[in-house]
Amino acid sequence: MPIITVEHLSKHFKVHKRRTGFWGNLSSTISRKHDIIKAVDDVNFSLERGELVGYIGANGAGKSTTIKMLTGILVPTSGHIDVMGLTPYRHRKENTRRIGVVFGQRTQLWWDLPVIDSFELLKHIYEIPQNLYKQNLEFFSEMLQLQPFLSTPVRRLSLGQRMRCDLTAALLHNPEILYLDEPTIGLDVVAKEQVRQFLRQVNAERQVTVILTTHDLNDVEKVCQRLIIIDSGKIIYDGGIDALKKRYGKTRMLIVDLAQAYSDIQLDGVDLTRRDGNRIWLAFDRDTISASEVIAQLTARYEIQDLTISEPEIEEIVRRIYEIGVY
Amino acid sequence: MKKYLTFTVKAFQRTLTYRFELWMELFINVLFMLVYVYLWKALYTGRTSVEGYDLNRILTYIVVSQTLLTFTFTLRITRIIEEKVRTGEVVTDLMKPIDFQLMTLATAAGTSSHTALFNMLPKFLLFYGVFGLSLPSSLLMVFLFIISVVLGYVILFSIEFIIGIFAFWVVEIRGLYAFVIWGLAMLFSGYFLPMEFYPTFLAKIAAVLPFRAIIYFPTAIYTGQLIGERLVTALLIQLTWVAALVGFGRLAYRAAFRKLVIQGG
Amino acid sequence: MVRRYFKLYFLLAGAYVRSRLQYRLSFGLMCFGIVISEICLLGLLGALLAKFRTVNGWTWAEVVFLYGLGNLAYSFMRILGSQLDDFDRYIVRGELDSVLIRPVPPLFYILASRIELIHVSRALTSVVIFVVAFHLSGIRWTLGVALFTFTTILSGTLIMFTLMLISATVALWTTKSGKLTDLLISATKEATAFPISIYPLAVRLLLTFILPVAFVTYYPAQQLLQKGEFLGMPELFQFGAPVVALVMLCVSYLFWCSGLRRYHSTGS
Repeated sequence: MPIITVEHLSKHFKVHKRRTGFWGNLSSTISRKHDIIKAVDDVNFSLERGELVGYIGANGAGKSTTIKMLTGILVPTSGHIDVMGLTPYRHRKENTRRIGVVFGQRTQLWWDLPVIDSFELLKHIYEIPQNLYKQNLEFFSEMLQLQPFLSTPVRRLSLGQRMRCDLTAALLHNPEILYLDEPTIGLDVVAKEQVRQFLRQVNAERQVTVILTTHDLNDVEKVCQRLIIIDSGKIIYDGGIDALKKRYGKTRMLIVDLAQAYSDIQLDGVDLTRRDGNRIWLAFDRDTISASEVIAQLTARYEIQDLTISEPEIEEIVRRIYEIGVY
Repeated sequence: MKKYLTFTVKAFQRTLTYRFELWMELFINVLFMLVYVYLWKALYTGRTSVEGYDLNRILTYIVVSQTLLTFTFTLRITRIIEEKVRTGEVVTDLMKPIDFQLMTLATAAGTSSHTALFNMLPKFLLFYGVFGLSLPSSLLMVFLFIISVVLGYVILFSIEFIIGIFAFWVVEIRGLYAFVIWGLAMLFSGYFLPMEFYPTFLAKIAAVLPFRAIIYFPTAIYTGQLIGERLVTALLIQLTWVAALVGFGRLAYRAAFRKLVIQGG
Repeated sequence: MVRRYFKLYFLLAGAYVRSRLQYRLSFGLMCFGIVISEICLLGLLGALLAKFRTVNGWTWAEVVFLYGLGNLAYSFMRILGSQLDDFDRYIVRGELDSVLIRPVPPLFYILASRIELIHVSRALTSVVIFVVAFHLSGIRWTLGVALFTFTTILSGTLIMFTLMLISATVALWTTKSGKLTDLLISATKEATAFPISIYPLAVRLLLTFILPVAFVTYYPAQQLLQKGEFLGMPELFQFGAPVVALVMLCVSYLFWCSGLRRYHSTGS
């Protein structure tokens, strides 16, 4: 029985057309036209309890819109969402008691008050029993080393410290699902690593289902077992990370600096994926053609200044999926 | 100069996008002005002239001063600077090869010319038509009125600017802002009634504060209350305040800039 | 259930008060500014009335009485409903999302997150003004008068609050309402400071039926001051404040709900 089921989920927005120029602006003051934007377009997926999923996509791809529908902030245009047997927008209050949400860009904590006061307030808001609250607070402050700044006002915390507190705040009421919207945005390398480590641990020890939107693919690679990629409102990949690597990882990339900008480049068994002045990117499948064969072809036909071969990182794979689609 | 003009144009266009806000603001402003116009009409029943103001002149005064008051509602320079300091955006502003004070003024001018064109002018014309108000007595007076409005505007701007700069030192400046703008400026600018009607002790306080230069002086020039020597004195007082407040604003933001460079924010 | 919400209200409001008290100087200045401006405004009003003696047959004590009554309702509303005056920041900065992920009714949560104690200074000033004006207008205290006054102030507070709520809710459609709410409330408050008999019919109708602030001061004052100026409206209006407050409460709440529904479907 999946914990989250999403079927044919769509969300369309009306967007006002902004006319450009002075007179365009002026006439917008009087009347407006609008376009329909399909932020989420017929999305389907389901999650099992305890999964740790990375939900990624470019800005405006539909990540946040999906999260907002799952948390009950937005009502879908069409489609069906089932979260722990509830329809989030219809049962908003019951749903919120069972989920935790972290928005990376803004804190849920009381800005001018000591951290501990925010936790206390959340205890009352979520009606967390005192002993559970104490137990959880102890657990998280040890795990995230919150002790040194529990009585510091939130506004004086570093971004990393604040994120650790926000994570605790989202988990104090023992939610079954944790939604994280860009939790590592703006954090330094050490803080990012701490957050990732924490998410893995919480997921493993407490069986919390975690959905994480990000555009730092290192988050996904180091934390998640499963990856959902959304682009222009549609899911273009849903599966394991290893599977993704295996499927697309056979492709290697040869980056070549040519001596001059040849107008027409013809090579066998190789895709010219990108071109920037004299530099070209060539993708090839290592099962069908070897690197040396490609280089031999190249040197025979063109004059080369420099070249490098890159193994595909997850980042590269995703970028390629964005550029040329699933293949 | 041209780069500053860009800020003006941009701010003007930004303001254009809030359509509903504009109409509502206009509606509420009109309501505000109606309250005062009818209050004065009621007060003047059975009277011809009080303190040198006949009914027509007092209504003209009220409408002009209420119109000028709109700048105070829409300027928001303090809030903009405070926000920039809080988010750190001010650092990039200070790094740009432009004068921060002038840039802020240029932005404010954009917002305010929008206010003047789409809010102040229509509502003034409306009241002018409906209540048969007067115009300044001559073209020269129109000219001097406009000069006085601009000077008053710069004074209001400078006060807000200086309060905003305080945000570099204290986290919370809303209190200071409320005290100065909603407390002092409202009372001593002469928007509620002309200085001639003020009780002596309040008039004395008003005379040493810059606020009457924002609304009372231009309005009194418009209505012909200030003429000859007194008019020149009023303009000179305005100029002095402009010089003092702009100068102080400069010193303040230079000091803030130094603090930023030394302590890194 | 009710107890839980009371407790939560005090906890959340208390958190806000503690936050504000971190900036004692600013807090003090704001209080001081309010008191000063109240006193000076009264000074100006006094100067004006001293010169003209009466406004449409209302003595200056009676005008100050109206002014004090409106100001009282206004200050209480400001203490409890200040969060609504810059409500648009909830939408501009996405803070409404953070409210919607809490297991608490959104409007309750928003109102509870701020109780503005600086307006207590205004309330106290208004109480003094009102009591003095009450006395000077020659009204004698009886239990009935006290009860009527109390109901009037309570209803007035609610009426002003609902106007504020309606104005704030508009931001759920327009995203930005800026200083609109503040302006609207100040304008209506100002309008109630004087007998509405000075206004033309259209403005009187506006203040009676659309922005019904005439029920905050003018109509109840007919009962307390026994002026008998109903301007062609039913005499029953002098007791109308609580009814108007209730109707407005329903209307504004429904409007809020539909605003929220809109937010749920657009997210901006």
